[in-house]
Amino acid sequence: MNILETKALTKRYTPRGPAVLDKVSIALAPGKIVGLLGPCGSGKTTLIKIACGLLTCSEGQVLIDGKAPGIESKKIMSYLPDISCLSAWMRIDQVLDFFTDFYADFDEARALKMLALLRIDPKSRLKSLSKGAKEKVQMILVMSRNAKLYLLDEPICGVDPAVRDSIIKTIIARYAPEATVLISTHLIADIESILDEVICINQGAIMMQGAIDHIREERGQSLNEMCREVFACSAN
Amino acid sequence: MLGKLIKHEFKATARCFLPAFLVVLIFSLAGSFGQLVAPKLQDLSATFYIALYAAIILAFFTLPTVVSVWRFRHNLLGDEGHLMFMLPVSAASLIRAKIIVATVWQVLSLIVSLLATSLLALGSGGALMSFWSSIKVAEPLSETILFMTLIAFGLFGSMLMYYVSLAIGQLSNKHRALATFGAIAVIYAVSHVAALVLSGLVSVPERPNLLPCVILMVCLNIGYFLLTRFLLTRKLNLV
Repeated sequence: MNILETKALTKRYTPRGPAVLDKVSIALAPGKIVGLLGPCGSGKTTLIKIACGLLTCSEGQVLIDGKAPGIESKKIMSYLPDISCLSAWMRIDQVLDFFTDFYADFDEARALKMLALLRIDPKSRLKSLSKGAKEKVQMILVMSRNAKLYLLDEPICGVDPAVRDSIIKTIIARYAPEATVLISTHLIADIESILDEVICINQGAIMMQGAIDHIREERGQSLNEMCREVFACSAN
Repeated sequence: MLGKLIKHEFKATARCFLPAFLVVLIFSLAGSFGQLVAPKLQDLSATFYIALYAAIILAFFTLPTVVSVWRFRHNLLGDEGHLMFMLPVSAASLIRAKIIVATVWQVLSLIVSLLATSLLALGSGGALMSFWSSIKVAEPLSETILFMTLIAFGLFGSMLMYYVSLAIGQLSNKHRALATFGAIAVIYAVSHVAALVLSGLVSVPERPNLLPCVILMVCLNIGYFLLTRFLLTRKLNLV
């Protein structure tokens, strides 16, 4: 069974407005790292938010492990938003308690280990951390869950290359073979090396979808080069 | 899960309320002490103190509602909502946790304000006794109980009215604040007109009947809760 499936998913923010997502159908099998690639404003965040149940779709259907988004799906999916969603007044150890309280699959020991590895003091208050450190903390929290599906929205956007590397390392280090990771980004070159599959989206429509090796072989280009070409064509 | 939500909500809101409680009690104690050591303290300083105290008490009375509304908007419909709505709990539990904690703080604020008034009255000797003796239970007792029930549901209702208005406001992508204020105005007007019509229909001037108002308040509260739950479950719009 697919861990994430969308069927003709359409989203309009206003009833007569343009479709931000236009009949998007994707299917993610378990055990893959999938890149959701597309330029800014292509519909990546909207797609992920609908899958999380944070936005409602205008038409179509989303299934997480065969079920509509709800309490059961939230138990098996771990979501990293593209914004800071933690309360700034909290200390990191308080946030760890919060996650321990609500998620049965949260591994606090692993989170503490990763924090130590990235030299972040668990007693620090979130408001005292830099933007990069906050993003690392959010990533650690999300990846410290033993979820079946990880939805990471722009995890490497807005941070310097050194932080990007540590975030990518965190993703790889925590990646369980049976879990699926969907990473949305427009910084393709940085994550190309870790992807199994890609979904290219632009102006709300799927442009391309498939295994990265197959696409590379077929086109004789790197993913970065190919995406530049695909997105440039669709923009013209 | 509701217990855990309540625990974390208390932690988040205690940061606002505990310092406020402390400030009010210290000010009352200072006022009481001032009356004892300098009963003839005159004019400017006394006037300044009374004005400041009145401002603090006024702010204190509005604090539970302000914090409750701010928490709902910030914690559920703001950026933090991306975390809260990803918890494996129902929208109903999120609303219940907010309303329970807000009600507890309302009651605690009332107790602290009574305590503060008593502290202030201590400095004026017999004034405390006359203050307490001025509070009388209305006759018959059933009317008093109905009145207290009406106040209790009024407290719930005012918060649920703000919650449902915020939940309606979040449906708008561009003008959320405007939509929220519009919803507050419409719901406030409709509920008050309904209460006035109902009390006018069933009461006579000599003997107001509170029971229909209590029933109306209960129905409104249930309606507000169900609509908020529906909007946060089926129409969530965390753009």
